[in-house]
Amino acid sequence: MKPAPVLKPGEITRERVEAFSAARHEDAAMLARRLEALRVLKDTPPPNRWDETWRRVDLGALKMDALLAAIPTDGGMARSTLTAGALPPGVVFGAFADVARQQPALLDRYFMTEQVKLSDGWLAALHGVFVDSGAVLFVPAGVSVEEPVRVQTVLDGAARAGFNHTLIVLEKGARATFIEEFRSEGPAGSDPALVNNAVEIRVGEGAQLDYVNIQDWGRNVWNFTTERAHTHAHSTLHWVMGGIGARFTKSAIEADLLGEHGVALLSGVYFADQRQQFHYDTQQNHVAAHCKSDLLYKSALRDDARTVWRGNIRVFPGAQKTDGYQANRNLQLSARSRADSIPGLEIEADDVRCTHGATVGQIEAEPVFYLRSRGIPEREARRLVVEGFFAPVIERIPLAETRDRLIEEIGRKIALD
Amino acid sequence: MTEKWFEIRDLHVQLESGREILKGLNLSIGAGEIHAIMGPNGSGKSTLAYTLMGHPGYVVTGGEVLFKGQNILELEPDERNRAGVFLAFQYPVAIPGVTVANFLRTALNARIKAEAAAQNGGITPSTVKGMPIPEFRKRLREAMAVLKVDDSFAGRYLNDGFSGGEKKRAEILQMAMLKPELAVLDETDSGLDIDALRIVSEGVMTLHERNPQMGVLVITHYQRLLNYIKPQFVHVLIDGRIVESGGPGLALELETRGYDWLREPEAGQ
Repeated sequence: MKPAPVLKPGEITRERVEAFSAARHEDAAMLARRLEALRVLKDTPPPNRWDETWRRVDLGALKMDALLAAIPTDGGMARSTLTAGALPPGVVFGAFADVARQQPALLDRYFMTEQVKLSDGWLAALHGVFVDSGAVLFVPAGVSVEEPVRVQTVLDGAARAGFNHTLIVLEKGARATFIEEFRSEGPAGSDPALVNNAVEIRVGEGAQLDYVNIQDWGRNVWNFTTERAHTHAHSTLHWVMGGIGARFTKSAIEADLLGEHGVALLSGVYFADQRQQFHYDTQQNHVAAHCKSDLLYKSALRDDARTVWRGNIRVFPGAQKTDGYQANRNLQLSARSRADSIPGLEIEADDVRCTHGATVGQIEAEPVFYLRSRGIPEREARRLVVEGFFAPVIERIPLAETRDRLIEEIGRKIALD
Repeated sequence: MTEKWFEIRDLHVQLESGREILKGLNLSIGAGEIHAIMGPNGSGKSTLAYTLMGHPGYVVTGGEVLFKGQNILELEPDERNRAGVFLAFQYPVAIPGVTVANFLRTALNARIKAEAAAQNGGITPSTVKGMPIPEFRKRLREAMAVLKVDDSFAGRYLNDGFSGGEKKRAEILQMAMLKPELAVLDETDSGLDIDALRIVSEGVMTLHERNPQMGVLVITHYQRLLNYIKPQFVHVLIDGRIVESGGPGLALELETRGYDWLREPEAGQ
């Protein structure tokens, strides 16, 4: 018996994709990329319940056919605004559509060729068909971009779709900080919206990247993301993820350590309330020897919220002297909320150190009493304890404005009553 | 009889298990006085401290605690503190991720907001923003100097990974910032070496000199803390009751004679 798909695929015609491309005045190469994605999509089965990573996902209320049909041909999707300080010569930092038009060679070389590929699955292929907003950062060898570059991607409350692509390429010895935030603006529409984003990161030999990704979509958004980074020899990636908004999120987040002595630090904070559902699948793939990966995801959840973290460290044969760590800490603020925390290790080399930790706990009474004994009212005492729980991760965000906004959002969630 | 500034009347307290710990405790303190309660292990010293602060694990079954005419047992723990009662804990709790500075500013601002609310029908006006950061920093630096703690202290997570001595200094630092009217010190000498004991005690005495109206209640097992924080009144707590009260000489007597001579005689003796 064929398992029922979790996402019903809907019918997307070639004519529709041609019209989508024409509305954006794209060149033949971009249309060809979309049509190739459509071809792959038609040959790719949608996720089904036999896929381990979809087994715990409740998509009962998701009408994917209707969401796909609602993707507008012209306009009405998420929009990205880019800001940066002075950029050294050779650095490319532009909107995805602009770079596609002006520097097609860059897309031919890096767009969905190395990190996220059409062959990754149905969501990746669908992304290739409707890719729209987003940004590209290319930093040539030996160049440092001193000021953080920022991308703010906004969905109008009533908009129905966002297909955002983030492509970051740091060549040998390059350095940069890339901060992006996703949010909805204006009153949320009652209609659901589909977001299907991809993040591709290449950290070249000896390069250093700080990457921050904060998701704060409106509550009508079904948010799917495919995010993958490659680190090469002696490179360092520091990746901070924040999850605040959206009705539903399912993110596949992967760091592949391809060159020796690479370092990947993956930090995450997320806070789910009401009936929000956050699913994070993280993968730390140690392909090369002498690499270090360290993941720390912290979550709070309240009301009827649900979070699932599935993490895996895989050590490939020959990846000796791997130092891999993963931890997921969950703070359950209501008895009805549910946090699943599923660490995993797959080790095919014999000289490695890999450990993991997963906890689900409640706010302890003693710290709250201690704070109250100093005149701090109970609600504020609880807020401090939760903020403190997240602080070590939030402190890793290299931009004060983004840190402060995240702290504010967390404070707002705690204050909901 | 004039009403006492701070008075505990016939206080009965039991644990959640139902075991009675305080069995009719009476004590009164005048403004500016320094009192010590001494007692052996298990006599109810820490129960008294926690009960005064409103810890939910201690159930008051009788009596009252009057502070300037108000029964503070009817107040929430944070209200008691804002009313002027401060407890320096024997075992201060770590608050990971919350820096000493952030915590102290939150505590000071909670006071400012509560005072503003009290004058505005229970609602804090939105114009009340709390203490300006430069003023806060100035006060914090001064307080840290009194307690001889390094500037980096302000940026550390409260009590998280602190040594025993650092925890006790942090308690007195909080006291210096929050300026209570009645300070209760629960076994503040435990875990301190002689240098740390001197710094912490001198800190308390400095605060008392600056505010001579501050009442101090020192709860301790040993006499040595009382060499530095000198009480005018000493009380002995045994089995949930004050069994003896006297002047400073009583502490020295306890040091040489122990507590046994004050215990209730066995039946038949």
